[in-house]
Amino acid sequence: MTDDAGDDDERTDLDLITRWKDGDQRAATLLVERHAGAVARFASSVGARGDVQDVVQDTFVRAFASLDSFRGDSSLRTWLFTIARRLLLDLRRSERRRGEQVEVQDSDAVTEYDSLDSVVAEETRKRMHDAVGRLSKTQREVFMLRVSEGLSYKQIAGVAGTTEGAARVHYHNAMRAIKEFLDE
Amino acid sequence: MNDCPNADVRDLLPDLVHGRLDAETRATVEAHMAGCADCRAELALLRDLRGSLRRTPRLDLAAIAAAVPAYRAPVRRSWVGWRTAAAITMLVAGGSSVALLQRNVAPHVDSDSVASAPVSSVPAPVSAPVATPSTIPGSAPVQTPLPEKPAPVVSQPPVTAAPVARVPDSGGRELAMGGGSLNDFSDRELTSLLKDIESLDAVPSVEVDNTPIAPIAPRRATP
Repeated sequence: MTDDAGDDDERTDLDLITRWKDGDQRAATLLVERHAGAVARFASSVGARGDVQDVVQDTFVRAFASLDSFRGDSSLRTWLFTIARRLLLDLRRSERRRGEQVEVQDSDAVTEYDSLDSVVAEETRKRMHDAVGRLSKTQREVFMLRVSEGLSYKQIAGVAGTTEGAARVHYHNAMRAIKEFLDE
Repeated sequence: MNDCPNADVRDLLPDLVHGRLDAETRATVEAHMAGCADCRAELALLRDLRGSLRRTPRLDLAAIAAAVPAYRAPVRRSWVGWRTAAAITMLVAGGSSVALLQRNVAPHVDSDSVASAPVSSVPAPVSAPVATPSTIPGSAPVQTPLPEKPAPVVSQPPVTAAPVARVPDSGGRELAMGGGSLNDFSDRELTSLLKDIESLDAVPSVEVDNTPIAPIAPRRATP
């Protein structure tokens, strides 16, 4: 049903992992460059704010420290999302214990389309962000993984710790809510 | 904006946006969309959303890459290693129990009366029936016989003189290990148990090399 472009990506990741294990530290840099952006976007969508850099860095440090346990059953990117998600949950849990509130810092984000953004496009973008921002946490997480990162329902279920069926329901509910918000 | 009733096609629209459909499925979806305005509108919305949402937070990739450690192959623990750990744990736990119980049976001496009390009137603490190594070089061999049966409870004579020491009752003198008592074992059983422990690969042991050594041929004087 889906083509094998993802398989090629996974083969490349596995090759880079092998090179890193053979002592080639540049392979680690290439892996970071391939996936750090996606991990950062995902982390932002599930609640990382001013600490995105730290979350992404900790995700890679943990991932590389336990790469021997990565069997390639899922893609490396999906595995990284899972680690980032757990890190964020731990982080938010400890923040709640300390009673901290973290301010949303939208200025931390930069888009590759910044130079082309017009006022209208910015307004459209803001409205779409608002629509996604109104989703429940789980709906937003599933929707971002499906639309922004192109993960399958099976992969989303693995990352979010749910089932394929539940992921599909969350996606369709999210899509319906976004349409309703934009139609208002 | 309405939802197309064909949920299967709508499920595939994000894959179409990401170019992840094979040629056959892609043709099927596109054929459906040619006659479905709802799906075309949803596909356009998905493309806009993807473009808007793919804002990558500012990252210092060099710092992340620098934090990645060099690969270290995992240290695999062998079966022998686990047995070693288990044996050491067992021995330490047993030793700790013995030490703690010995401390518990030590007499509590009243500091204000000990100076005036004759030493001989203090009942000597009963030595623990533990096999004492008798082959320590330079030391006199000490043999503490182990009773075949649990030692009979000896009642303490009532101390009527000055309260020199309070000795716990005889029940506290038994050496208990793992819910049992060493006194429950006979000499033969204890010897067998020790042999079992020594037979484990985990316990380091010194083995005597019995290989006969070939005699060294005498050197011949060189002319």
